[in-house]
Amino acid sequence: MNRNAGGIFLVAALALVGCGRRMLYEWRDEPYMRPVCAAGEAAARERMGSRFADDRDIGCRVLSVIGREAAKSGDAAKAREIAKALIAHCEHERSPAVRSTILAVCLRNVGEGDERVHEYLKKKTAFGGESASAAYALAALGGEGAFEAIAARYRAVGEHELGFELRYELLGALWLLGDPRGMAIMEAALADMEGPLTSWPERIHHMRREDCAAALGSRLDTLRRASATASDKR
Amino acid sequence: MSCRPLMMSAILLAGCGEVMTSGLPPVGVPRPLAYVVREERSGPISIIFPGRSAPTDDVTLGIRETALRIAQRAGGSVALFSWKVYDQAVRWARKEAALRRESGERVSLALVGHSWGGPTAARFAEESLAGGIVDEVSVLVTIDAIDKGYAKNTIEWWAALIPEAVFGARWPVMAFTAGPLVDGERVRRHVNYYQIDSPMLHGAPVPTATENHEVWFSQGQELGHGNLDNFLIDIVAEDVRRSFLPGGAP
Repeated sequence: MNRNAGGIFLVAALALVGCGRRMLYEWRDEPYMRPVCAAGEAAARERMGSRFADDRDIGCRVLSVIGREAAKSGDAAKAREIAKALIAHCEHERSPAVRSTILAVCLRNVGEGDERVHEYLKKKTAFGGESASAAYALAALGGEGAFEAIAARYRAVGEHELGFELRYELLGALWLLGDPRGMAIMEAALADMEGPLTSWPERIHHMRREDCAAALGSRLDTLRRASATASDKR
Repeated sequence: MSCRPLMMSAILLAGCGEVMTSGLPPVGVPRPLAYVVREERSGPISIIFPGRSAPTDDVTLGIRETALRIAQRAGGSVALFSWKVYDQAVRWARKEAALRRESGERVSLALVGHSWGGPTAARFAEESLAGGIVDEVSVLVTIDAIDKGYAKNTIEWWAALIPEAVFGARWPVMAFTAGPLVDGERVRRHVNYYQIDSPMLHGAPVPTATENHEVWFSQGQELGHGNLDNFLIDIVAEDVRRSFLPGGAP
């Protein structure tokens, strides 16, 4: 047997464990979330202090689930307290992925009727690298000023490659928000996307421009339908 | 006479109940394999299929929260079923459809599936139309749909590593890509969400879908397979709600 076999096996095992940590959490959610959720709020907060981004991601998500369930059972104060902790964590969180999760998932979970969350999401929509995540959460929560915040960001994005990707995401947030004023923005974007002198790049993310235009056109159709329906109440 | 065999049988039946039972849990009571969120005698019907190993009573599950949001916004009857109890889902849909037919109502069904639940939902769409259970599928939403088993994938994955290593291209060996035909009448809309960040476990564009969306959210950041449903809760709930609004096919 190779004299180095032990060392090779050890390195391979360490590599597997290292890769597995991230890969398996990406694959399967519930085995990672459920035990922490069952252990309660203290366990979630402990995870938020971990040096692994995945653990912090899990901690934040579990804490927001606890807050969401508290709000459902009538304890809005608990949800607000958790939202405050999540905002504080987001401010010094160094992983963009975790910040994106906090904005798009966690604050949406606990932000219903919380003015502080709405204002924070508006601020994060306007500036920074996670505008799309903040805009989607803002659109999900709705409320006063949501349309203005998302539309203003859409107009402000510069027309460079990365900007087009963000603009495409902001169109998705406008669709989710369901404000009829979003239709004009979506129509203009679609006309530009399908026009012969389009300013949109060939690919947005990894999708072809034609496929993005088809998806946007279909969404525009459902937004029109929602706007035209008198019983359209969210 | 000893009552031990009877007791043993009772314990066994209770233990295996989740798999063996032909009945459903009461409305509003989540169980690992099925959760009937709400039942109405009229209105749309929504059925949601979570991923392969995702228990429907898990409060952290994004797709479960999606079902609750659909019930809140779209109304009608809403239930989640594990793929393991597909037959229960068929029976439940048949029962709900019969209630609507009694009052002469057109039976409209929305289907949502995450991961392994994606192809399950697509199969349900085709079979419920072919079997005359429903009149139309108003929308089929697939989220990072995966259509192959773990064993087969483990083998194919190694082959998929070659193009990834050489060309940097991710080969969707596990992705579900054969959706039902969207004719605008029987299947009115198919919305397909996917990401390509998670190695092996990721979806792909479905050529027949009305909308394909690579889910991305923030600059440079794609999302993992397991958590994708959490990001899409409100988006999917709106897809379903708007599909039930009057206005016809796209």
